Amino acid sequence: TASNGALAQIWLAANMSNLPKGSVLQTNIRESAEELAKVSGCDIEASENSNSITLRTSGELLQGIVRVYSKQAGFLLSDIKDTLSKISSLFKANARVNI
Amino acid sequence: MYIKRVIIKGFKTYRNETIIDNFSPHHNIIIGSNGSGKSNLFAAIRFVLSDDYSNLKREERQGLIHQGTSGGSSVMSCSVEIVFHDPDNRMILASNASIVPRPNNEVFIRRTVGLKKDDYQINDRNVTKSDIVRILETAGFSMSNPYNIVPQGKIIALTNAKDKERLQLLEDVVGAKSFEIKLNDSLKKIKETEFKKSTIDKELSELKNKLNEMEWEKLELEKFNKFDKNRKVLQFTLYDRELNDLINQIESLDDDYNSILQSSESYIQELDKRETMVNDVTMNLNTIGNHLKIKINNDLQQAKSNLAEVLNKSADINLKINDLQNQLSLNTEQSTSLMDNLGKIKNRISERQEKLNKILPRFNELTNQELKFKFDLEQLKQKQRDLLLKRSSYERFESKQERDNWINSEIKEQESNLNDLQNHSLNNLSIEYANIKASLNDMDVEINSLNESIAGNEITSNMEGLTTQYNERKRLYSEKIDQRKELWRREQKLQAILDTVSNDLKQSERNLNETMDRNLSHGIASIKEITQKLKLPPDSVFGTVGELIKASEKYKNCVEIIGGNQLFHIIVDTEETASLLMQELYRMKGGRVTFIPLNKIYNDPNITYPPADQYSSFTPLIKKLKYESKFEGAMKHIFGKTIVVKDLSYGLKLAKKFKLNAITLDGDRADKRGVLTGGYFDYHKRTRLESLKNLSDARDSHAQTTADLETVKRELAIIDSEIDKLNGELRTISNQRETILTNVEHQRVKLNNKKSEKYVLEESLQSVVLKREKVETNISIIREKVISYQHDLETDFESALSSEQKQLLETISASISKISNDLTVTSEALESITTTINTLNAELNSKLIPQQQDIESKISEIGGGSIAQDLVEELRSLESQRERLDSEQEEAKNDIYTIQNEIDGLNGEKTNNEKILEKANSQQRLLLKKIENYQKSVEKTLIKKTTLASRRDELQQKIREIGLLAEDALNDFNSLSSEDLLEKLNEANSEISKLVNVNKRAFENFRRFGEKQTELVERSRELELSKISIQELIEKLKEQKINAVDKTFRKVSENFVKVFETLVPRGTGKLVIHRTNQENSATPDLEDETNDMDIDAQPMYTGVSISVSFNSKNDEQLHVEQLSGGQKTVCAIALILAIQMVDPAPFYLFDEIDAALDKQYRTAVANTLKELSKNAQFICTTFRTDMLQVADKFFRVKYENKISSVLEIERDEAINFIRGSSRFADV
Ligand SMILES: Nc1ncnc2c1ncn2[C@@H]1O[C@H](COP(=O)(O)OP(=O)(O)OP(=O)(O)O)[C@@H](O)[C@H]1O
Ligand SMILES: [Mg+2]
Repeated sequence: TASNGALAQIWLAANMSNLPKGSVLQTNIRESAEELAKVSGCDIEASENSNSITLRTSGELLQGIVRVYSKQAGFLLSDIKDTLSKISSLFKANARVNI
Repeated sequence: MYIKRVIIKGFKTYRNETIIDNFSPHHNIIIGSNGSGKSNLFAAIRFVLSDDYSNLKREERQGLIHQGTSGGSSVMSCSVEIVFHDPDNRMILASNASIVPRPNNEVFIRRTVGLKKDDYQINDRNVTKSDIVRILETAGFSMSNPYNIVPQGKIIALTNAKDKERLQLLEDVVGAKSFEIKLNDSLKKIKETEFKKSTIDKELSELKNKLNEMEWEKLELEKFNKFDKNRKVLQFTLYDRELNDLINQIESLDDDYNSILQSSESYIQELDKRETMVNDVTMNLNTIGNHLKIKINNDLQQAKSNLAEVLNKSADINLKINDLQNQLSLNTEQSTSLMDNLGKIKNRISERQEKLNKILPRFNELTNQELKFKFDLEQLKQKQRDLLLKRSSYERFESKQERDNWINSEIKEQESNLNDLQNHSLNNLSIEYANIKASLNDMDVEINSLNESIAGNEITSNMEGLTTQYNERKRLYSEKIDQRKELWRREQKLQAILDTVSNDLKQSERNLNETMDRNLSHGIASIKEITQKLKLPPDSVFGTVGELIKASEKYKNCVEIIGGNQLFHIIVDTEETASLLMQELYRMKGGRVTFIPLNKIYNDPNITYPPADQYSSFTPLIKKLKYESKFEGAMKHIFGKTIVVKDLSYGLKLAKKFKLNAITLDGDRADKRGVLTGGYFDYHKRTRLESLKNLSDARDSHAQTTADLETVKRELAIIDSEIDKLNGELRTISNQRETILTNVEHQRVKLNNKKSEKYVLEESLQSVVLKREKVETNISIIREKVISYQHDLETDFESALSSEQKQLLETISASISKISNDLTVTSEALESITTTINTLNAELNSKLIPQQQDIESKISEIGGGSIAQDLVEELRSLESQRERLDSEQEEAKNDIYTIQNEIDGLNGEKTNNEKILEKANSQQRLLLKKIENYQKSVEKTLIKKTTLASRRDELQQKIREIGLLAEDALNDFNSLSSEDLLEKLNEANSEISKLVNVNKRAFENFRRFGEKQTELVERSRELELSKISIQELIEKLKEQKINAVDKTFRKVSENFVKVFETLVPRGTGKLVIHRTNQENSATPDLEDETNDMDIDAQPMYTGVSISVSFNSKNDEQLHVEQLSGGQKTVCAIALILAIQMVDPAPFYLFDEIDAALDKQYRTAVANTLKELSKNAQFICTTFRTDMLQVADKFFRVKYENKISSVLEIERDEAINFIRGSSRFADV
């Protein structure tokens, strides 16, 4: 029911235990969040069309989005740390060379 | 999605595997008597799909597993599998990759419980319980609160539940609970991420700091670069100068080195010469030693033993000669004494004989006289007797007549007597005489023939012939013996030579083996063995390459180096031979060799030697080798590509150009790829080639010697057999002689016998003669008697004698006495003479003649002259032998002397050579020391050179490190002196050293990390945005949740009203939701109170209650607690069905929900169920027929032997069963 379009990735993220890094980094959270809000029928309150997904599903999708978000933050952190350590090792190496 | 199939095994009453297949997706009814196992079937489904059977204790498990008293083996585990048909893929399996989807959109969920285990499986894959929970959840089925499975008697529990529990049920229906959980999880995660984010910010600011630092470094670097360039130029100039200097120095060193090398070269050459000399001398010494050994051990020894033998022999012969001489003298002595004796005896014999002869006439005379006397006497006596007889007889007669008668008769008698005598005796005697005479004659003939055979010509000639033969053989024999001795000597000598040659051979082999690896040498040795063993034809295995080529001394090195190990390759005729040999090698583990089969050898036809008119001073190596033409291919293969050149660099050129290998006479080589190989090569180490040659020489001489030895041995054998033959002949000849001699002896004995026989015969002849004479005398006597009688007749008869007669008688008597006297005298004389004769004869016959014979036989035994002759002859031969031996002795002595001389000479030579060797060695040492000195100086130069060279390399390296510099910059400092340059350099260095922390890659780093930073910052901003959007989303979703709950509740309550009214047309009922802030608000109206942020802290609703009235629409509403059991059931069913309308569950299990209802409600429920079963699956048990009317499928549970089984039945059967049992129950 829910594995359509932009939210497919999120659906997978919600259900899979191990997310590949590439797909995590590619996912645009803002777009996904908007999409989810749309399909769960939040934006147009009045419309009670049958297309809107169940609460259960939207909860799952929310969890998926959050997981992706957390992962992204984790990757960013590790990248920054990596860069920093590279820089500092560079400094160390230089210091050694000049002494 | 609906339950399609249930498979139960070992669960409660379902002992055997029970499959309940083909459930209808709509309405199913299960019937069966009490206790048959209907509820157990439902329990089985709950066992898998609900939480009711989680966390089982041991006893509980045991309660689930079938407990059979009968049927023997008890079941140890139970399993229930539920197969869903899921055409819409409501069950999401994708999250677990290992679960393989089944065909027909079926999903298998199984739970297995044993005493120790409790496993879940989806499509036969083991999964955890949480997996099951999640999958069922996604399909809209909550395991924790399954309102769609109603166990027996539990229907009222739903109505009796608290308001809050009912609220939870509703929320479950909406999915709010799971949403709540997820939301909480998400929020937690966001919080965590928040922490990460703060770290990110911190790190980012640090990154910025670092980058600033980097920028500073960049500036430093620019400064540094300026100074650095200056410094480099300075350094370059300095280095360049030093380098030029160094190169000059190295060149001069090279020159020095070359000159030293040249001068040492001559020394080395001299050293080489000496070395060869030393080698020669050593070899000489060796051969001399060998000669000496042979001379001393063999020749001298032999000569000495020879001499000893000769001496022994001559001593022997001397002894023999002495013996012979003694014997000879003894012999002569004996014979002379015998002769003496013989003479004496002969004298005595002749004396006696003379005496006898003297006596004999007298004897004969006397005998005759005696005979005559006797005869006379006899006659007279006869006469007397007759006379007397006559007288006496005449006296008796009376008359003449009477007398005459008597006389006549007497005459007659006498005459017959006479006749008798004459006729018989005399005749007989004559015959006997003739007989004897004849046999005597025979005897004589025999004796003659015997004499002939004893001493006849034939025998003597025979004997002589045998003797000469014997002597001839004897001579040959000794000759052969001498020859044999000579051969023996030669054999011994050859044996000694063979020993030394074998030693040489072994030494050569060992030398050769030193030049190759063990496996190879073993292999080569084995090949020889195999060739002999397999009796391969002689032209199949030729030997190693090295053995088959000859190269002059000059090119040996080249061959050695180019050939290398290929020198040990074995050339064979075909590859079959090679593989045969290889197999054999493999079989006997005989080492490894390489073969070159001549029929398979391939030669590169493209070998071109440089044209001689353009290039000089080279030779193809192959032209300098000598080998048999059939090996051409193999040799070309190995050596064909090599040319010999004088100069390596020239060779290199040629090698490259013509794709050849070039080698100098010193063994330095260049190949076509331009690789040079060379260096010192120890020429005096035994080379393979030389070793191979030595080996084959040694092998040749070994073979030669062995062959010689063999021939000598053969000759020896021949001579041995000849000697044996001669020995045999000698034996037969002496045997023949022996037989002849015994024959002669035999004849001699016969002769003697004959002689004695003859003697006897002669004697008997004598006696016959005597007898005859006697007979004749008798005859004459008788005649006289007759005459006297006749006379008497004429006379007158007188009774007495006539006077005349008387007278006659008287004269007769007188003459008788006279004659008697004479006879006596004569007899006496005869007697004495006879005695004399007898004595003489006795002496002669019994003493002297035997003595004579004895002596004569002795003399003949001694052989008289002949034996002596023999002795003398032997003596002479012995003497000649002795002479020969003497000369031999002399010769042997001479031999020893010459050998000794030779030995002395050799010894002298040896000491001489040793001295030379000593001298050469000491000179060698001197030379070596000189060369060593040279080497030291060369080494020194070399070391210097290497240090310079390394310095040079260092400088070049440094210049390279400095890298390319602008040309004009270089020229800036050319005019300055080195000191100035140094000063400037120092300046520059000090400047640079101030800039200690220059980072040379500052530029690049700055750029790289700058980019990275911008990227990271961008990402963190994006992350922030994401967070915000998520938060927005969460807000929205929370709102949505509330909305949804509201909406659902509204719908449910609407439906509840509807359903309740269908079930209880006269009554009415409704649901009431209780809110937190509006405690008793009856309307589910909630528009503006939801935007509070603390909603998630406390729930909005507190519960849901039911209020109904059964009697009238307007009657006062009753709370559930106030209702009867049946009414409660109706409420519960209404609630469940209302929920079903809003959020349809996939299936419903109702265990006797209509048990407490009366007919009216049962029909209503049945109808509602029928309505709903269009969209959902129902599985119900019942004891009433109402529901049977509306159902699709019917199953009956049977209970036999305490085991349940299920079978599908028709509606009629089911109705009949129910009716029957109810009637039964009524009764
Ligand atoms: N572990 C077990 N092993 C064997 N038999 C068992 C086990 N547990 C229960 N039973 C038997 O199962 C029977 C109960 O079956 P069940 O409750 O399914 O009957 P029912 O068909 O629902 O009857 P009712 O119409 O009275 O409700 C009992 O006879 C009981 O002895
Ligand atoms: Mg029951």
